Amino acid sequence: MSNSLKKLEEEREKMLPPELEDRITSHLGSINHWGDMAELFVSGAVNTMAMMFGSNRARTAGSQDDAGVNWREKPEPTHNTSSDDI
Amino acid sequence: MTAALVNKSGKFSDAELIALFLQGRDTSYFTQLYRRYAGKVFAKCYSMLSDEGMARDATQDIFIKILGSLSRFTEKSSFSTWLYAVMYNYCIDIIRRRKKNLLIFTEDPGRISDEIETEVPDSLILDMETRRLEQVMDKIPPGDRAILNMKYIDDLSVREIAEVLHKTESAIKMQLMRAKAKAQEVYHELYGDDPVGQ
Repeated sequence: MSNSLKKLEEEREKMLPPELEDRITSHLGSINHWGDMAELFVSGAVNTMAMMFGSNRARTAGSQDDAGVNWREKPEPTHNTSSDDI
Repeated sequence: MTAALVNKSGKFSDAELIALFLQGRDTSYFTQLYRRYAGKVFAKCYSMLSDEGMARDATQDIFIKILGSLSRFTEKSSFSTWLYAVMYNYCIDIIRRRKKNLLIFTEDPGRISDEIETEVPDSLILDMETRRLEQVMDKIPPGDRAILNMKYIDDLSVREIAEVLHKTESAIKMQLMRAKAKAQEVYHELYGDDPVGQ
C-alpha cells in the first residue's frame, strides 16, 4: 500500500544537515565536562560540610578507626608482658 | 570494550542505549540514538514548521532537551513515541509563539455541534502525489498536520496521539476526521477536480 506521507518524510530525512551531529557531540562533550566538575566539587563540598558539622564518619573515613582500634585508650595488658607475672 | 563493539554494530535497543549512556556517560551511546532518530526528527520538524532552517535549529534544541531529561525517561512508552511527543509539542509551542492568533487545529472539537461528519478516505492522503501533498500539508493548521503525521507516518494509535497532545481520545478521533476534511478542501482549492492518485 502506498503512503505519500512516508515518502515525503523519507525525502526530507535525507536533507538532515550533517554538521548537526558535530554540534550535538560538542554539546555532549561540554555536558560531560561539567558533569565531571560537578561530581568533583559537589562531593568535595559535601565532605567538607559533613566535617564542619562534626560527623565522625566523614572525619575518620579511611583512618585507623576503621580497623576497630581505639587509639585514645591504653591497650589492655597481655599475659606475656604483664608486670604481675614478673 | 565488548559493549562498544556491539554498540557500533547497532545491536542495542533504544532503552539499552539510554541505560548505558546514563550508567557510564559514554557519549557514543547517545550519538547512536541521535543517528537513529535525527533524520526523522528533522523531517517531522520540517513538516511542522515548513522551514528548513527552523527545522535544523528545532532538531538541535529537541535533542539537547532530550539529553537533559533522559534520566526521567520511563519505559511506559517507547523511546520513539516519547521523542516524537517532545518534538510535536515543541514545534506547536514555537508556532504558537510565532503566530499568536493562528488556529492550531481546524476547529476546536469541544465546540462541534451534532453535525454529521462524512469521513474522508485515508487514500486521499496516502495516494496523493508527493509534491501536491507537500503543498496541501503546508496549508492546513499545524495541529492537523501533527495528527496526520502521527497517524500515518508514526503509526500511533488514537490513544497514543491523545496522550501526546493532552486531549481525549474522542477529541482526537474527531480532529482526525476534520484534518482529513481540511486536506481535501485545500486540495480542491489548489487543484480543482484533478484526481488525487499519482
